[in-house]
Amino acid sequence: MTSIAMQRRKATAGRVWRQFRSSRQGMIGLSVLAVFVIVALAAPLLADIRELNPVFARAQGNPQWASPDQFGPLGTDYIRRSVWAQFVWGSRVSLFVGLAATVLTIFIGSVVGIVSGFIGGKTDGALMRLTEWFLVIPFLPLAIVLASILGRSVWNIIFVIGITSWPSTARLVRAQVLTVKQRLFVDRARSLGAGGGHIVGHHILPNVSGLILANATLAVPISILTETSLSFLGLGDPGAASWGKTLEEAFVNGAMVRNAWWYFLPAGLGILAVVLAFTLIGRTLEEIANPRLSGR
Amino acid sequence: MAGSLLTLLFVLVFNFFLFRIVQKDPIGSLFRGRNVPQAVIDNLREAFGLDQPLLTQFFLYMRETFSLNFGVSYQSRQPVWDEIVAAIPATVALVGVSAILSAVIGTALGIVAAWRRNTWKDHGITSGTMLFYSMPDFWLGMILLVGLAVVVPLFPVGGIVDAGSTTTGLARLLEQTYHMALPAFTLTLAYLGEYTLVTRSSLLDVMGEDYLTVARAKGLRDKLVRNRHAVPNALLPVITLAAINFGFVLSGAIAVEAVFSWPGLGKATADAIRGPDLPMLQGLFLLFSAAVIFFNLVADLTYGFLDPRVEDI
Amino acid sequence: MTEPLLSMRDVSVTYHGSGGAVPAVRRVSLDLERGGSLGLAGESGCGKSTLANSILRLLPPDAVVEGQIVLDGKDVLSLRPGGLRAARWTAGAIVFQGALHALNPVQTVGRQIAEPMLIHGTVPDEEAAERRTVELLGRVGLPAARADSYPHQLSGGQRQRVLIAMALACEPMLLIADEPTTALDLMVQAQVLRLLEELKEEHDLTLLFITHDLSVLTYACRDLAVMYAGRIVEDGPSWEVFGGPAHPYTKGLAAAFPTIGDPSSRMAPSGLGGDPPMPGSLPVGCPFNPRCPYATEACLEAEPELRIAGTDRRAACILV
Repeated sequence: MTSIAMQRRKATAGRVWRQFRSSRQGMIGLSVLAVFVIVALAAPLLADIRELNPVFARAQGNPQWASPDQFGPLGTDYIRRSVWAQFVWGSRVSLFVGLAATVLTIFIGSVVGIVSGFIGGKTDGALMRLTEWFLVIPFLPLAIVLASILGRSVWNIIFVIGITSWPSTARLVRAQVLTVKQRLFVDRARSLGAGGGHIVGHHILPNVSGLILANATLAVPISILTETSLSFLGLGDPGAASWGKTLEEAFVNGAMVRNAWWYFLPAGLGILAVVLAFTLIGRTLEEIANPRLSGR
Repeated sequence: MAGSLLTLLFVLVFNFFLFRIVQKDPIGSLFRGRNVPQAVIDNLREAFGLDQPLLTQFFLYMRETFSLNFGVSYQSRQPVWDEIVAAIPATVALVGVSAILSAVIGTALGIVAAWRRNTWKDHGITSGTMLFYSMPDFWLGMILLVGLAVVVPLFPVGGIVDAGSTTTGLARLLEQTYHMALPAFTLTLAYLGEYTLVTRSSLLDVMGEDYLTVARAKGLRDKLVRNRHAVPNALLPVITLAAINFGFVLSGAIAVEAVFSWPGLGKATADAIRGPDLPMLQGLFLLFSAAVIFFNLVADLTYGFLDPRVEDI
Repeated sequence: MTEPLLSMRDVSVTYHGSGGAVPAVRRVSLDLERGGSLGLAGESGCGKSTLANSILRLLPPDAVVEGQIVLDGKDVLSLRPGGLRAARWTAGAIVFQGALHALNPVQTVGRQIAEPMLIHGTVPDEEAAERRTVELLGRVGLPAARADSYPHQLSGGQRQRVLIAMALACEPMLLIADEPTTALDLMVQAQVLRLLEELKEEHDLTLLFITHDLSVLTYACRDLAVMYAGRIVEDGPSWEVFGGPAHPYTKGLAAAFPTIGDPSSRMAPSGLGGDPPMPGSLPVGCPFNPRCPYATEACLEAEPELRIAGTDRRAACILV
């Protein structure tokens, strides 16, 4: 039976991929994302990590506030560090935080949504109340407060984003679970004596996974933008230079008044490109999962 | 209504525990490393009842909260509430203006995009707004600041008035407006994408409805079909979005206010983070949450007023 | 012989969507005399609503209409936008299906009834429009207070009456009733039918009645045209067509709607098995051949044209 299920899953994946490939916006998003993933993975080949260390930069004799034509390819900052190195290594942190926070968001949201929708009754009522409450609390201030209390580290940022952005996923998943459940009663899977775990694993999860995937792709931009804002406000990990951290340092150290555009443009463009890429991919996946949306 | 009160209660409880999770002695840590008379600390300890059982502590916390006593800011040594009240007008002016402008412009763009679906107008509007929607708002602010205040010095680089300015009356108002232009422009661009996308998709939903065919059959001009029949129906979700966004007026511009040194609640938050000035953060968080809850309630009420199908809330 | 109020010549409607060209209506010709009544019958998807909407050019932009439609002496397909708007609701008005969202949910029904009068200037001012709205509501059997109601506050039957009142607002010559009794319960259906019949007499209306229910048409219309796969396959006087169908499809359709009070027709198996063909992929030959109990080899060869099947009667079947 597993082989049949596997084949079916493979066929579904193949169908989704064929539809995805025919979407122009989806392929543009995927290509842009691929470039950044390659940059992040190949960071050690593209820039020496020691370039991020001001002591090393000084020892190398780097100039201060050098523009790109004085020091390639992207100039230097106020403490002589290569901006290119910061961009390359920053892509790692930004992508990692964005993805990890999304995984946590989707995990919490899916668990709450599935439990709520599947069990129903009082559990559903209580969980949905909680979800509504979390939806109301202003997201960025809550993240700021939590990050302030917990301290500045990559893992805390991931935790903070996860704990603050799960409610919309939970709602979406719950709605989908309810529809699937309705269908299941028609299929009479229950009356055949199947246990709750079996139903969730074999009927509900496969049916909501497409939606969860689309939702996850659309949650990554929010995670990345939140990380950027938190880092910009000084809540970023001092030991892991994300793009947001680069923007903060550029801002705090007067890059704008000096018109040191090479310092704050690359990181922002990187964020813009990655966010746009995920948005385009997410919208395409959403259209495939929900054909009614196509042409939007 | 009852739901809103319950939500407010939740936020208060949440806040109560939030600021006590990591701190065994909130009052002590309030004054960590500060030169504050022991008598003041003891007074506050007693006011918050930290020697009392948890439930009593909670009631004391509620009492202090409702009498707007959030403690004393580390940075200014002034009561948190006074600091907050002083920063409210600047934020309301800046974010209020931006919120209204973005709602109006964004909705108008969304209407044009949907009504002319798949034309170059639609593609231009959709991709343009998606672009602004995808960038960090403060980064957009940085670019506009460098472009329009540093490289081409059309606008001031920050603050609400020039340093050392002594203007009064109308002249001061004009000076403030001039200083507000760039941050307001930034926020408007950053916010309008959401309105455009929501309006567009909502109007596209409505455009399939039969009553539009009926309106056309009656001999109405295309413009009248759109403005009288399609838009009023498509606007319901947009109005909800606007009301909810207005709830974020107070907390919406933290990073952008920081970029433009705009002396509002956002900059106060950004400054409090550097401390961290926990009493200030706690007060700001409660205020931000209360604003959101209030405007959610307003959203529900407006919805009931605008959509005749919703009769009771 | 006077000129007919509505004359359609070789009208074809093709949708050019993402799935290629889909012919919804194929070379339909029909005439409707002033004061006459024609019923258009067929299963859903046969093109009857598309045909009705083409008369006032209400089809979506991806629909291409060919042929000639003359309504009250005006060549509808060549009218400029201004002329088209002027003709809409005055030369011909439509009674839309009340079960659909034909009424704007956020406007009172009174405003929606008054709207076309103010657009076309058939009343001098808003006050007159209001008076006439109340009058129209009274005529369709609704109290004046209903003008201030919103659509969701009305029952299905009341909504249908509102749509009828709305269609009469500018005293049109042609009334197109598009499934006005669908989704109403039987008693309300009968009331609505009686009302339409009365109004037709009072206002000397010309009626084009569209439904899938052949028995309703027989009751309401003098003439009948049956559509299948975008074409008219049979037409003639109602009672004759219903009583003695010439086309096998009409036979099946007539059997599908039992005559009330006749137990034998209730027990008889419906003559229509299977589903109507998709307009995008019609069968070779006569499009009805896969479902036709009388189909022969010859039916696979060519699509039959309409041929004479008695006095004033035509049918598109080689067996006629």
